[in-house]
Amino acid sequence: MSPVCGFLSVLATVILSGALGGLRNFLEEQAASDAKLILFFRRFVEAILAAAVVPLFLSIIGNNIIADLLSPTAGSNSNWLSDWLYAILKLLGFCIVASLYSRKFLDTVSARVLNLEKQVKETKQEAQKATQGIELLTNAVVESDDQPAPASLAQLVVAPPAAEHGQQILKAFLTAGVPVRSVQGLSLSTNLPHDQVATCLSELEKQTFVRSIETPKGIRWVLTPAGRKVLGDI
Amino acid sequence: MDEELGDVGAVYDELQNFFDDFQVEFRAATNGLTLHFDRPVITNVAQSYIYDLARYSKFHEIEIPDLARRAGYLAKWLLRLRPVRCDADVTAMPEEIGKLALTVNELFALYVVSGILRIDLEARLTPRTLNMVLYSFRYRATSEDAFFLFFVHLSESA
Repeated sequence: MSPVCGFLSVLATVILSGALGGLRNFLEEQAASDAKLILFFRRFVEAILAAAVVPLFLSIIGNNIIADLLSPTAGSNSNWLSDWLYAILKLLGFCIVASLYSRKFLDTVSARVLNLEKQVKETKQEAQKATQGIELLTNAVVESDDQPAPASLAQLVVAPPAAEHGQQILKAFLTAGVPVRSVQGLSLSTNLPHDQVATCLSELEKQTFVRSIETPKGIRWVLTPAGRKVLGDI
Repeated sequence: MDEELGDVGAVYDELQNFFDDFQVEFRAATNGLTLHFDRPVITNVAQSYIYDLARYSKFHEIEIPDLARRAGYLAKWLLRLRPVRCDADVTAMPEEIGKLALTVNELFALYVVSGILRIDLEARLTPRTLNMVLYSFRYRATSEDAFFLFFVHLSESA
């Protein structure tokens, strides 16, 4: 089935179900209103709008009915008709429910869409803040103008830390999902004694794989870009 | 600690980071009162929280419990084990500041929940609701399931 046919069938379903829902709503409210014609068209349009929003609603909840209807069906030709009819019936059901409760449905979907936009915006802002924070904290070495630039990438490669404990501690930075760590936290994460972790961290700092930060509550540790790189080599 | 259960150290550090930020705000609100963070107790909070998550995940066969569930479990253990303390003499300070000093663990639990859910609870809830939440945290034997329902509602209506 071609995408155009799929689109037309979706459109027809939306209009039909919207019309049915609107008519039902009008009949229910008939007694309460004098301006029946105006009320009729109001409800009719509301119901059409609600049914039209159903594809958006389906995409928010991760349902693929519309995609199945619009794209060519895979599989054998003998099955495509039953699959298509099934999808149409499901869509019809969604649209009828949406049109019956058109006002409430429109409010709910609008709120969800706005909320999603807000969440995406907030997540982007947080990700940006986290990236900036990590960049500020993990700038390990400032290259001076006197130092010659490395001739090749090979000169930047550093030997992975020999001690197994050092590797364990470095991995704990990445796997935890918490960029700023304490000695106690790393000791708990790696099951290594507190003093051993502290010694390892000093060694790792000398090799520029980690960096210490002074905070009012004590020393905290962060992974440097060199540390991240060497983790990729381990 | 069994690796499969989760990283206690990461939870410890996350709570520590929350505390560092909370301390700054608390100081500003209380004319410089200092708080102390009981490390063995926080370790106990982290361990208990991880055990709860592991139990929940195993029973419901869910890999990663949602944020509301995580916030509920953390609030439960923070309120039960009370890792934060303020050593200042409450009777010698103004009433408003004394109240804050007494309810420091409840405030910290609320702060952590705000951070986990990524909702500014102080801005979202009315002062009356906020007081009721703090009162429940302090005086009522509320279970983590009740917290979970409340936090889910907050997350979904944000």
